[in-house]
Amino acid sequence: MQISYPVPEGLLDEVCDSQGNLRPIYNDVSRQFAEYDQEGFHKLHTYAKDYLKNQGISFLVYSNKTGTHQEDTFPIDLMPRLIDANEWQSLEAGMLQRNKAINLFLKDIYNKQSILKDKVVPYDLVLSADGYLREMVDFIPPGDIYNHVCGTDLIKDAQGVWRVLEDNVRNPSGVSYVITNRQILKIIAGDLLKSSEILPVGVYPEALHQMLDSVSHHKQNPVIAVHTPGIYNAAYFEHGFLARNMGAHLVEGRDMFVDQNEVYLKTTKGQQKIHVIYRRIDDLYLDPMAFNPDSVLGVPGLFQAYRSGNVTIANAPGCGAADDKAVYAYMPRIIKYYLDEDPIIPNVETFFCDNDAHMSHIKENMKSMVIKPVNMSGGYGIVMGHQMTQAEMDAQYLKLKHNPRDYIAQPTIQLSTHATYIESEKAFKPRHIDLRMFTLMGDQYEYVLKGGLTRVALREGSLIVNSSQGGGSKDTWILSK
Amino acid sequence: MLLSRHANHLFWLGRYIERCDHTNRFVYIQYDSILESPSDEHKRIVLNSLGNMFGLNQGFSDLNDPIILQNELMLHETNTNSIRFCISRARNNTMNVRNILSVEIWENVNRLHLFLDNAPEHIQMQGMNFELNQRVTEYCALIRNSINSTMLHDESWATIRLGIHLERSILISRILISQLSGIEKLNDEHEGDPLRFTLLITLLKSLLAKDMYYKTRSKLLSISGVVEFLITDPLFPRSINYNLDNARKIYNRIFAKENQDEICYEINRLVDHFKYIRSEDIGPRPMEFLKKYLNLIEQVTYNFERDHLMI
Repeated sequence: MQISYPVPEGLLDEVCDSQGNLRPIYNDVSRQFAEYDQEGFHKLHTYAKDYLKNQGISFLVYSNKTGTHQEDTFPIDLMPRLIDANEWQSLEAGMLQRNKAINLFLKDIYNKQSILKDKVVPYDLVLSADGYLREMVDFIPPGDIYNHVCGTDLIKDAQGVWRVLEDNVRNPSGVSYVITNRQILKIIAGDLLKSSEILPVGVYPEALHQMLDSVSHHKQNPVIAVHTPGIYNAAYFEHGFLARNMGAHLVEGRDMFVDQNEVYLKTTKGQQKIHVIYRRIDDLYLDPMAFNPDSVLGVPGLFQAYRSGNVTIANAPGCGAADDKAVYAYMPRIIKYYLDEDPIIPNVETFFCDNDAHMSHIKENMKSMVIKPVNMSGGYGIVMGHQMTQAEMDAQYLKLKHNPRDYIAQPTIQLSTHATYIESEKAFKPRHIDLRMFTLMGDQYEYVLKGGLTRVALREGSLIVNSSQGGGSKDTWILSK
Repeated sequence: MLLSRHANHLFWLGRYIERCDHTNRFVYIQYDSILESPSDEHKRIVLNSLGNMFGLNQGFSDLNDPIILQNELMLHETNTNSIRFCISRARNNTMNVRNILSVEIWENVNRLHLFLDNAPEHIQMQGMNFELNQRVTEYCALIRNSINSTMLHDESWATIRLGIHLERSILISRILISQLSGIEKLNDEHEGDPLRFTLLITLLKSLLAKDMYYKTRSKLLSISGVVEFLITDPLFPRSINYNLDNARKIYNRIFAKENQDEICYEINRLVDHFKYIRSEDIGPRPMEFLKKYLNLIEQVTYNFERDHLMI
């Protein structure tokens, strides 16, 4: 299997240069894959698919049409993405910088609100964020940590500059696919991994465990639970994967109860106190007594136990205030305010719909812009200007005008592309990719996963990489030298 | 430390795997026996016993159709007696406790589920397919083996084993009842003739008991001998006595509370009763005996779920 294809003008391909020649960093990979003919490589690809299916490495999608849940595997592309050590160093430093700033921001907006009083970030922007929880005001979690686990989405633009696309501070998922992708590549291309000297990713569950340990108020062997909505949640595989690999309990709301502001597990031998809950459910479903009274996923009284300091919840409720795409646009200022540093990794330029000058710009340039709802994830609700007719753009503009707080606009960035095996063509073709990096913040503890989830838009020309919208993923190799 | 909800899933994982294995074997062996049936009466008895065992409403002619039989009892998606349904429930149970089971257990359950979900067309159309039967038998054995050899033999493992032993006790009782209901109807003229002999052999094969029966009993095949063996033998893994005794040991080791454990008392009483039974205690009509004790076993099982699991 040869890796060579014409690279469209204006795009940056990470594997082939503008002349279609292989970049030197991919020489070893290319040599390995060249040992397979078309049929042989197709068999490898099928083997990987079957492995995912047999292992049940999947996510659930609810179909409105059939009214049932459908289990889909998250396609893996066997062509790994390589990042050299130097490039990685600045990415890692950028993640630590950014997440420290986010943490300080969250602590500030729920307590002193200095950044708001100093008018660095508008009051109403933060207080109107869907993820801002008044219930968290005047409370500081253990270790002063709010964003214990952060998934940051990055892209490489046509000039080769890394930019942060989005901060996922509520319930970032995908890390289990990072580890299982590596497992598959080890089976298929073990020799290549060995000779490439890449940094390991399998230590993540241990690092997560250490981080959760560090933020417990109970220091002697704290009991940790992963709180899942259940087997019908799209990311259930990941919840079970992390719980198993940490030796933590995998619990649903109905497995816990609160008594005298302490949280307990219901076990066959009676109640057992829990000290740290790594929750994978949204804020509003955590506790029907504090938030959504219709929630059956949460635990009545949990939030009161949390505020009493008897249990740690990771990530802290209210982190969504930093998850908001409108707040994202202020991140460079937030970093500067708390750390007195310029961002190591810049943002994508962002336009606000409640700013007249920005709205003029959006109106004139909508064809080359992307409109995003501030509070949605998974790629849902995103509208691409170049896919709209004039009438649709006019309607969209009116929508932005009437709901300015609910949207932001960004110029359409041509994400870098990467050699991706296309099953129907049995050949490698360039497809757009991004990178989700995972950062852990604990008490005197910080860790960035040495790798990440490279997501690939399998459809030609598509810029939407999310699994729920037909995306796939690649193993990401960080070269140690 | 085991969550009550997880214990419930583990318990039912054991029960569903056992149910799947028994159904697979029972159906195939029953059908196999009518391929060289000595008489129409034999066919009718066998097919009636299948109908009784699984609560099927189809008439004789439908059950005589191998494709209908296979589809109803092996591959039917929603018939709660089909092995496909059992495995989909077992998979659901496994998913809920994936974090405490080994990867091997999950993979084996999942593979069987995928196999049944995507059974090739030639298997579906052929009816009562040997390949299907063999694959299910092998997978069930793999799953049981992976439970025994990849799990710590702790409370989680014990809960699965408890489910297996209780389910097996129940299924042996029900298989005996369904088979004896036909055999007992034969009048004494059939004593010693091929029909009775065939039915008893089929019953033994359904419980993988034929070879061991002959090893332990030098007497000629008889209803009382077969029933006594399958109810009381302390060493045969598919006797009711053996399974209840193992269930008792597991329960006492893991679940029994120090004082006043009602379930402990019920199980001990049941086991001691089976331990000392002789054929004269079973009587000339073993059906009544079996029905009474089937009720008691099911009651103990229910009480265990009520008191220890999250139901």
